[in-house]
Amino acid sequence: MEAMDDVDESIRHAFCAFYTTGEMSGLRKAIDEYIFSLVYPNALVRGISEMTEIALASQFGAHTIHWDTPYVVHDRMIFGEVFSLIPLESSWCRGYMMLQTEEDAILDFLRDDLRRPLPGFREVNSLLGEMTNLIWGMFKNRYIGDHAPTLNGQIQVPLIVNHQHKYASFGTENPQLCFLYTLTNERSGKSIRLYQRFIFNLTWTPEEFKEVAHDVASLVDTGELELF
Amino acid sequence: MAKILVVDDSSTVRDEVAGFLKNNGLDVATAIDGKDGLAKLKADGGIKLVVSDINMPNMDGLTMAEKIRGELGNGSVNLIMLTTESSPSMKERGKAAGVKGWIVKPFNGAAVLETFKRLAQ
Repeated sequence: MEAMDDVDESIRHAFCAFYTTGEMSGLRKAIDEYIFSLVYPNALVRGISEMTEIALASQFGAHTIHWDTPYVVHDRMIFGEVFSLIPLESSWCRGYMMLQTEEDAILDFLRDDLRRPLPGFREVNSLLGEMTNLIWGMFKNRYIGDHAPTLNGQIQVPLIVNHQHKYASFGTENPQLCFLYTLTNERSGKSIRLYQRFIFNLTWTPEEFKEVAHDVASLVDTGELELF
Repeated sequence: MAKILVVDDSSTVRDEVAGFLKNNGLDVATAIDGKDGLAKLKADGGIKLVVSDINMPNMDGLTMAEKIRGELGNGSVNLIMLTTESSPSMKERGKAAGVKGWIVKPFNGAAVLETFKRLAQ
């Protein structure tokens, strides 16, 4: 701990690791441990963005959708006032997808929709729920299919949400895969920010990851009636 | 006029689908889950087409379809699933329950309107 000796003891707890310019291996070790401790397949990361754009476009047709480069985060902070959670269960992953957004931004969008004359928080909840459902469905169809979770599918850990600190814990120090989508109404200039996090806190074996449907075009061809 | 029953736990989807069908001259009722849908179908002999989600609380859409065929023995009602699910096993279960068609969300009303009108007669 010699490199920490000059740091006041009262703030040492704020640092998870240290390195010196003469010995950079400490930095590498800390980055691997705290940021890149989970590896995400490129096909998964790319596919999530593609599927989410399709889902958002179906609900926010008049908006321009932009997403930033995905990143990993180690914080547990909750953005906005409303979030959804849905479990993701497969033979190669178990965890949650979380969508976080701001209520007022969604309400502004709903007020522009003449079909909803007096939108309130329940309409916000419903819209966020349907977005979550659409993305979850596409995720399952593309990456899970009929493959059942493994036997450890019964393992659960408590989730803790602290409203005071806008903090949600999934019982693990694992990093979270994070995407930020910005939906902009070009006419009004108003925008909605939607944070999407993937938290694989129960099982993560990316070496078993595979795509059930490789062709994103098949996901676009939704809405067609298949008669039996 | 024959009636269409839209069953979905999401008010967003119910409003979207029911609104679209009403705006195109169809008579529409709604239900919030499979249990509610089954009750409304039993109470209203005018319903000729049921458009239902699968993943719903209290009673899922496929269980509702199986009960419609099993309990009601009602072969005159057409069933369409409107869902995010597209796995072959789910579709097979739907076929076995007498489901007539399958739509993967999101809903595209223009693509299905004429078929809905025909199935609702």
